[in-house]
Amino acid sequence: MGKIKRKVMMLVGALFVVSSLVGCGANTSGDDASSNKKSASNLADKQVLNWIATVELPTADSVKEYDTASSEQIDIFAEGLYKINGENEPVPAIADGRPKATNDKKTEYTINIKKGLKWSNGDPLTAKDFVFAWQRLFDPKTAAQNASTYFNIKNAQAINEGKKDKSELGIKALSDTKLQVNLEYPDAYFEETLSDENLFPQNEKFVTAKGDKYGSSSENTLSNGPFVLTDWDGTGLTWKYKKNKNYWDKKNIKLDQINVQVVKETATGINLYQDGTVDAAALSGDFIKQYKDDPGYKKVLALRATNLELGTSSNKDLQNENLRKALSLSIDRNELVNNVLADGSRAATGAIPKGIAKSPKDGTDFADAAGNLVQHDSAKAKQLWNKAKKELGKNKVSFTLLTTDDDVSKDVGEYLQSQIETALPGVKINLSNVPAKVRFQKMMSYKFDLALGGWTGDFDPVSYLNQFYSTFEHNHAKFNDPKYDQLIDKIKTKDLTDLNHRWEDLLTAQKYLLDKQVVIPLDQGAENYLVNTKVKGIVTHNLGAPLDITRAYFVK
Amino acid sequence: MAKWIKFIGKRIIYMLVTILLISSVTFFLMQKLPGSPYGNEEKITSAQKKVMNERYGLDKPVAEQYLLYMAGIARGDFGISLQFGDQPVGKIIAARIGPSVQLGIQAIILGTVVGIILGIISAMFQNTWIDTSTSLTAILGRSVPNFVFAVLLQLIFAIHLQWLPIGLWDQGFYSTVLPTIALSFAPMADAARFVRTEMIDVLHSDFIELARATGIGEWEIAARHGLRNAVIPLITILGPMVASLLVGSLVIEKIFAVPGIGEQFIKSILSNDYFTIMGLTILYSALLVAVILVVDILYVLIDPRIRLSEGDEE
Repeated sequence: MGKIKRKVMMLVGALFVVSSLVGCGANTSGDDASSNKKSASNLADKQVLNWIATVELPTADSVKEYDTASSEQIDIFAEGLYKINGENEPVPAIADGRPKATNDKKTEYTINIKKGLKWSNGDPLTAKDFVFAWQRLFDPKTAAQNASTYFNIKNAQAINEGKKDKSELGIKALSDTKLQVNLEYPDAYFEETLSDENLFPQNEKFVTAKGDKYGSSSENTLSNGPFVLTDWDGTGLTWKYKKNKNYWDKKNIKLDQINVQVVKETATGINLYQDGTVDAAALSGDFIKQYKDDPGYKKVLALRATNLELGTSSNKDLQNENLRKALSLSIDRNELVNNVLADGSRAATGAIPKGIAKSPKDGTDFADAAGNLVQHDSAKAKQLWNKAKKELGKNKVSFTLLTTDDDVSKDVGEYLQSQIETALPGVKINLSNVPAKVRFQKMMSYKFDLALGGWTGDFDPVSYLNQFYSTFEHNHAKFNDPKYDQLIDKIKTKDLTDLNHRWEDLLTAQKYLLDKQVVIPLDQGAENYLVNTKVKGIVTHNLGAPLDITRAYFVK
Repeated sequence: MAKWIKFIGKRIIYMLVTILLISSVTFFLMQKLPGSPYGNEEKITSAQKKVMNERYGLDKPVAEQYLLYMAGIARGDFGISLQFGDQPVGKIIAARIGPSVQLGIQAIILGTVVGIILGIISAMFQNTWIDTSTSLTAILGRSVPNFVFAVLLQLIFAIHLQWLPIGLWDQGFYSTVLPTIALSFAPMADAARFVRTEMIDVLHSDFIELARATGIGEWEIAARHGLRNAVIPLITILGPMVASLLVGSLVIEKIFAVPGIGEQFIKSILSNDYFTIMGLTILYSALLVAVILVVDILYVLIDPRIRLSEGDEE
């Protein structure tokens, strides 16, 4: 009985994890785009997808959205200037062609919009709809939680902090089909940024008429994407999408309808999938091991970097570089991802996850180009720990390791404790499992020893490195190194004129950071799914939502 | 009649005071929750936080926030939920309470009816194998968490036998059967245990001996005289249980993908969703005190030893 109870408890524990995962993905979709044409004749008669979600849709308002749960759904019924394809590259969506830089500093762009676009209610969709949405994003009254991600748009921060009027935002409608965007400093990943849901257009007339209710149910939401959101009451566990007759690319949309069902319990989801009630299931925990050879298994690497964060500013012992290095060298990341997590996560090789950027020269992934910067070497760890002991003048140190109180974080905490204490005799790790909000609070007070934290960056590798910029608020270690700051400044500004040079500087900055062991990278998370093998055309990507089902279709 | 009006009127006033006290204490305790109510806490800046606090009125002194909130309640405005895209809390509760209440009522009815029957059988066949097995069932029902039953029921009746749906809320009554059964084990076990003990007690009392002497059959005695007495303590424990079942079960609703309210309470606390915490606290305490009132009234109706006195004890 005890065993059964434990098993069931584990199942229940696992479901808490899946709802908290934030993710993007790896491209595993070779079969899709190419087979599109030849399979047209092979299309099944019924094109209704029974899809799943692991949490409710918190909001359908693209401006207010800040989590994967919403962005995944918004991508189905709405569309921005660009979208990310299966190769993790931006391609024009609403935009007509690529943005054109109109000044030498590359801070002013014009973007053309396709002609004759329409909202799902028939209203014309014009450049003004972008101006309205972007102004709304930074309007303090909107209280959009993701606003700071786009502070690179001219005057965005000042507007968001109430210091400037929203009309001063760096966006203008030059005509119905032409936008002008002004940036504070150049953006090497401008098109990727423009694919983000927060920068999607909004229909001023409709949004203003709905007021606070906008995006709180399907009647109060307007669509401009491949599908129209229907039958959503704002809080329920089900909703639907119907093909959008006004969508510009409707000829490539083969599904007539998508029914979404929220299933939070992994086991229930798998049962429903096997029963044929739904065409997909989210996997977590032990189920991943069980199904990883299933023909319907899909894994998508997320861009979440999980790190052992160091409270260097408040803990004197951690200011010893040899000790920090010893801690990092004592951790076997492969064992961590294969045996402890066993959820498709990837062992970290640096501070920047795999799949975020490709070399401008030869297309190599950033993580591959950087090589493995976080080795496991117990002997060397011990050596450095002995050195550190001499430098610190003591033989024993003890740290409190702060983790969130969910099962997975606790397991990782215990694993790190055993690894470090075994490899480095004299180092004592005390575990402190606390609610996520408490962990954030302690880290933001900069008073902690060790913490199991992480970061999900934006489209630019520098967004991971920027975490250790001296004045950045979420620089939990309070790392303050003018040399590093200068390098980051250069990457963010001067380097934009020479992307090859920028690439080199990014590699240098990451190496600098890890040479000093300011942070101890651990792993990169993954999303795992089962998808009906009759469903083709699903695109997976690391950037943005992990799965794009808008071009999916059933084969016979 | 006047006695009744006075009795109930007084109870209702106590009820309102209780709810007010509970909600006030919760409001002030809630301020001690660490962190902000914003979901993007890992990345949000302090300047942004300030802007948002102003937007939601969270920058005001706590006392002022409290008065504003209470004034809102008086107007029927329960505030907005930050984890649900600023939708009104009232709307969220209204949309999600239905399935929870339905499952709760069904589970209470099923659980108590089966429990009472098991209890009577146990008492009638005291210390036989029948008693032992029903008692064992009751102990299992009480000590094994209901999600274990839920998973087992799902496995047997939905996956192997395919009699009922695995989950979801799209087949009317059929969708409710398994979650109802899973939820009914606890009330069933409690009812069975209490009824058994009380019945054994009652069946050994003098007036039952007298009834026996008049030649009435054992089952009739049990039904007519025993049950009425045995049910009184049951009402006491059923009260709070009804209240807790009506507000939904986190785990059962998750396992069967039921769109209920059960999970919202936990989720709102974990995410510091202040107004949802308040709304659900008020709902829960209102249900609880209402149930207590009903229990008090039932007491008077069922137990002739309790009478409405002019002075009432207090």
